[in-house]
Amino acid sequence: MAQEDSSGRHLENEQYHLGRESWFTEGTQRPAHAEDGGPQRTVHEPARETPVHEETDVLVVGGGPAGCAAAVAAARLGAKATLVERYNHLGGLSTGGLVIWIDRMSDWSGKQIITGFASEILDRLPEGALAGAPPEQWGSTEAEQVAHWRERLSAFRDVVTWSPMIDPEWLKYESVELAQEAGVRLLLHSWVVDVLVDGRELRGAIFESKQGRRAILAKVIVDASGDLDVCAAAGVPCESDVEGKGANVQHCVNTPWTWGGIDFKRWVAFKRGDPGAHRELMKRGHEELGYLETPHAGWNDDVALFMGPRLTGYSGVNVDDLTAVEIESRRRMVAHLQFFRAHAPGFEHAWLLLSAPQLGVRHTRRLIGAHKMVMDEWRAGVRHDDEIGVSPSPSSKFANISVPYGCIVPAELDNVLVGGRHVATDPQTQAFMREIPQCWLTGQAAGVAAAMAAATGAAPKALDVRELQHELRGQGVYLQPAGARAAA
Amino acid sequence: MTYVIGPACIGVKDLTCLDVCPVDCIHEVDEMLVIDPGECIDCALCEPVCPVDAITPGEGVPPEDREFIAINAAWGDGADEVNRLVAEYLARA
Repeated sequence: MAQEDSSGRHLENEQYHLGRESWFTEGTQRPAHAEDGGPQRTVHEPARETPVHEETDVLVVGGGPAGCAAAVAAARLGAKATLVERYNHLGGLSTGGLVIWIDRMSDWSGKQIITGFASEILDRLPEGALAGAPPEQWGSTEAEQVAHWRERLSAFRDVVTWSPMIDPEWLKYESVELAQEAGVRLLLHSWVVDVLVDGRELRGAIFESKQGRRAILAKVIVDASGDLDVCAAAGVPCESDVEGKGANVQHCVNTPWTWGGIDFKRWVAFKRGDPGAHRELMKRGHEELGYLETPHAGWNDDVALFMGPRLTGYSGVNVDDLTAVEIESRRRMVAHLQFFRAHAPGFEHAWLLLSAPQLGVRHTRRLIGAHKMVMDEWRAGVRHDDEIGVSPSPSSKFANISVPYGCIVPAELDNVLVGGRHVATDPQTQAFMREIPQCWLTGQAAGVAAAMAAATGAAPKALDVRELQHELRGQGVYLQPAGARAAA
Repeated sequence: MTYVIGPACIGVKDLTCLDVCPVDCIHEVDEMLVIDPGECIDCALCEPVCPVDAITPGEGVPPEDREFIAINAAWGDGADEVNRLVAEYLARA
């Protein structure tokens, strides 16, 4: 029986409640993941027309450190750059993930070698939003300075480093403001879910938001998703330790947290003044909780940061795992709060400031690139001719590390660049290339290369590397002098 | 806190962890392997490759194995000191 709506239009019974046709069809194909114990059943989604939200030169997928650097770098070169981010903020793990110790931009001698976007964004943070060693202390091995900065995660192996602790809210704010000033077109609350494949190129991507499913067409795409989502959606093979055969779910995952109401100076005075009592306290905590996180000073001494709890055996691309980690991390957060409030000097008035809105995933997929950064190469001090930046080495035993353009260029896609923790590396190299400053480094290079490719129509693989290096230097990026080997 | 090798390694010394460590911070002593906390960069690569699950983050070492945090750290005082502490542990075990 037909009904009428308020404006008198006739509606079929079955359409009356939903306003659209019935749309449920049992699927017929066994899903790809069924072999691995994934879902057995499918439903069939009919084809549809998807509105084009906009057309752009450079589409950057993911607004973490790499994506921010990429979008700003591309826009500065005159490209129309669109940055799509699924959360309500920029900065990714450096803000929403509470990886707020920005480790690290100086080498073992104290020279700052990760510069460019890294310097620019940190310079914008106001007084009180950043706690880090002053430049004259970088590289210092003086005991008192090392002891002071170690509590703030700015000294490692008895060397003071440039690795400040920052206020994530200010970094969110300044990241958005910087993107606005550079002319980046920003879409928050938008999650890229698929790509438009055309041979070896991508014509754009599909994202979903409160407005439903829409497309963005682009000349070049930068995959800064952190999980290589764009390349994986395009169907190109990637390296992974968490999916497929041989997966060992290699890296721990966690939701870190911050507490307010802390008197961190009192806590440090207790640790250093009465090491025996501190040891006893930590031992007791370990016994009572079965696991004990160490607090670190935040950007102010009234804030404490807990980097863990590191939970292993979970995959950063499995939604059940991600959910389980959230639940367990917060349970541990509350157990720690109760213990520290009751027993730890300086923590009597602690309160829950924030559990990170973004889960701390260290690694999922890695790019198969034009060049793969591997441990043997950087241990040997290889200086790449196509260098796009220089990374501090993870140990003072090794020289500074030359980062090649090839590690951000996909082997099998012709108009895509990659920036962030998923660039082409082996696991040993990913262990430091995943850090925030290195993500700024590869992101900025990806943005510059993407703008050049969009402007000329050349494939990223075919770009003039000297011109790329010239543009990077123009944006303040440190590169080693031509012909020089990596310096210690 | 850095990663710690616990008592499960004693008598096993599989050595796979040495291959995956980017900074060569895992060292062999008489009965087991230890991680030098002054060198470990917390990258977590060694943890899943251990065939006997001997490696845990420092904050997650089971309470009964906590002396292995000190045993690993004793690498800073030399292999002899580590061997002495492991021998003490074995004498009690």
